Amino acid sequence: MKLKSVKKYRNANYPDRSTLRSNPQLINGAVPQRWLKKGLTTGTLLMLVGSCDQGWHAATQGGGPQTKRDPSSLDHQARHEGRAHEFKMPPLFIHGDGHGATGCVVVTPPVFLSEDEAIDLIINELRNSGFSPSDKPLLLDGVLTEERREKYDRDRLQAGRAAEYEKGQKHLFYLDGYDSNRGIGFKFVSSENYEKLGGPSSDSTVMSYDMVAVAQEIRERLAGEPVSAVVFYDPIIQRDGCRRGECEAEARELLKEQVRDFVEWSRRESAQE
Amino acid sequence: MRIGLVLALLLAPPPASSGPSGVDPSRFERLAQMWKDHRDRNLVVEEIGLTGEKRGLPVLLEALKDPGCDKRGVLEALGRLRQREAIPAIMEHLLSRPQDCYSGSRALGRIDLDWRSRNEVTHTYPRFLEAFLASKADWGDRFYSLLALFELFPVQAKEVAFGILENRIGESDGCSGFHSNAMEHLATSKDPRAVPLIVERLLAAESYSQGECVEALDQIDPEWRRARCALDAVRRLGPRLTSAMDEDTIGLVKAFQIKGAAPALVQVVPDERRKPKIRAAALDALVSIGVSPNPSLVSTLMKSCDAAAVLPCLDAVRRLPADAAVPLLMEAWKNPDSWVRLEVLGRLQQVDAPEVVDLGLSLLDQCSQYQTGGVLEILAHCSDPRVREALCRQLDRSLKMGEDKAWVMASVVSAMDELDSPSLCQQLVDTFKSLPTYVKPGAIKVMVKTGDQGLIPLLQTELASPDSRVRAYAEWGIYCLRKQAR
Repeated sequence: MKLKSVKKYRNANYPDRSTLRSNPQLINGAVPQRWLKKGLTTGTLLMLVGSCDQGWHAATQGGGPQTKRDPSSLDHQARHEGRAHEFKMPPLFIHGDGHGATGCVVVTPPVFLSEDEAIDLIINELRNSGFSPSDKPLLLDGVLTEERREKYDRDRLQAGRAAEYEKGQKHLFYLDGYDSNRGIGFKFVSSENYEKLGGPSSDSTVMSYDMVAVAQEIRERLAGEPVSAVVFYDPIIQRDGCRRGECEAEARELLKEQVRDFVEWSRRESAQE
Repeated sequence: MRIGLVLALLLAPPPASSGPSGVDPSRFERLAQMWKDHRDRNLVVEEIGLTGEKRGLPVLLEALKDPGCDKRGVLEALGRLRQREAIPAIMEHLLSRPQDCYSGSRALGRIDLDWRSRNEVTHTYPRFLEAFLASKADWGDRFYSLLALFELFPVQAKEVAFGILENRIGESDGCSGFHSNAMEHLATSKDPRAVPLIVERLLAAESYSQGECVEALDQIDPEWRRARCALDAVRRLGPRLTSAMDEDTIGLVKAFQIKGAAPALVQVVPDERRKPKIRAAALDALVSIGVSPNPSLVSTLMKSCDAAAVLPCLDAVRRLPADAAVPLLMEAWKNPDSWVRLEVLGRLQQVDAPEVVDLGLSLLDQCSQYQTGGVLEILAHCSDPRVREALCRQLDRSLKMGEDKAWVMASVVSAMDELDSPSLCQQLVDTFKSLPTYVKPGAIKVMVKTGDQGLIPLLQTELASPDSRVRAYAEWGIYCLRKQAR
């Protein structure tokens, strides 16, 4: 069975809080007349109706900056915003191979972007394109990632069989930024969070990175969650004769290309809606 | 009725926006309880970090001492809380676990951009220094202590770096092997006082470690060769700059760019009594100090060189004009070593020699699988129809090699990507199903360039691939093709 997000929904047949607030007389027909004779009962009812959606309200409007938000409620926030639009999951925007290795097998070391720098770059690029992402992490309740360590097995390697993994420590999952106006967040897969996000680690000093694979796994994982998010990844430049500064500039440019492609995707989606 | 409305207004919970933070007050109680119950402690630590709430600080400080907690996770969480009260605890932790110095400095940087100049940090320097000097027993501990000193106290720890380079802190203190770290630290901080010390180190260095000294000096000051200490070093080298100079001295000629050594080097190059490796190094040094080599000299040397020593000769050839270089390269092509011929082919392609396609195709038929990628990379720059045909043949041939030689096929696909030929793409489409998983992402990248909408069903089948990289490329490919259609 394939899960599909709700594209259309009907409005509730019962009056919601704002309707009740603007038309208090409506409650007269909804409760027995004898209840309304007592002011205390009426007040209690109004209080109950008025406070029933405080949970998500606190999350969506609670204090402005996302640092102040209660992460436990962010799931509700995403769900709430999801009423207004479908939970969209853009593809990975492939710019850069995202492949690299460190350790004794390496002649030319790979050049990674630092996570903080990359997140700043993504936020700036998005802001320049009219998005308004926060720079605060957004915890997704119930979403966990798990470290996995590749079991070294010489016979298996020589036979070319698929790798086997041992499960490791679990980690919470959070988006690196979230644009509450557009209802979409982003995650950046870096060498620093690679293992936390489920990228295989090794027992030896040799470590290989496949950012595209891990980014795709994260994407697919998020597709089952009530949230829209785009996943970006470190393009990794590993090339003979490329000086560190040049490689970093090239990696930054590739990451910007990923963001620009996402912005273009987002505009197309908006136009279609 | 009126009483009820008043009660509703009084008793209704305040709007969340008017609250201090909008944070669920029971959340910390729940996290604190989980912490007390020893449940999912690492997750509790992460979650407290993500809330950014100061109330989480006591738990995180306790977690820093808890042997069961992932310390780097705790440091990251402390960084996210951005509370200056955490700085002393972080410094204490790094004192006992210097291997966490990079996670620690990242956390400190998040707490306060100017953390290195804070009293809580600077006052701990003597203790870190003491710990470094005292940790003689274990080389690993000492190595991490040194890294922590350099990372946390880049300015103060220069004295340690100078001490190591001046051998004041030396072998007796268990500091062997730390010279490179010290040199790197001083180079990063661009301290000109380090130039004389590194020049002395360069003079004493063997040829294989001269490069790191030159790199450090270049980083401090690109004009270091004009410094008094460098000129003095060249003067001291004088007696060694004869035709009998050894490999280390030849390396120093190159490092210091001693033009006056050219006559001696010119004598070394053709001297058949010397090892080809030294003659090649002399040629390399000649080229590096700006002396154009005599083509006949290069030719003579190239004939007698082994594969390892011929590369400096090929570098020297690159300095020659194309009409002089091509005959020499054609001469070098006669070398039986296919690695040498691969290098020659690369040089021929750099000077746009018309022979490169013929020679490349012939090498492709003779070379090993390990060289195929290199040859194809060179040929991919030549828009000759024969190259396309060769790539088609190589694709067929590599398909028969099996999954364990997928990297050969990956180099074929990479060359196809470079050539951008529709006919090659068609062959890739035809064989796509039988391609190894490792090659498919590259193949999708090539195929998508055609904009052929008929590829979408093929890519859709790959959305169920067990390999997430293939799925990512297939999904991206479908998106690109649909975008092109619109």
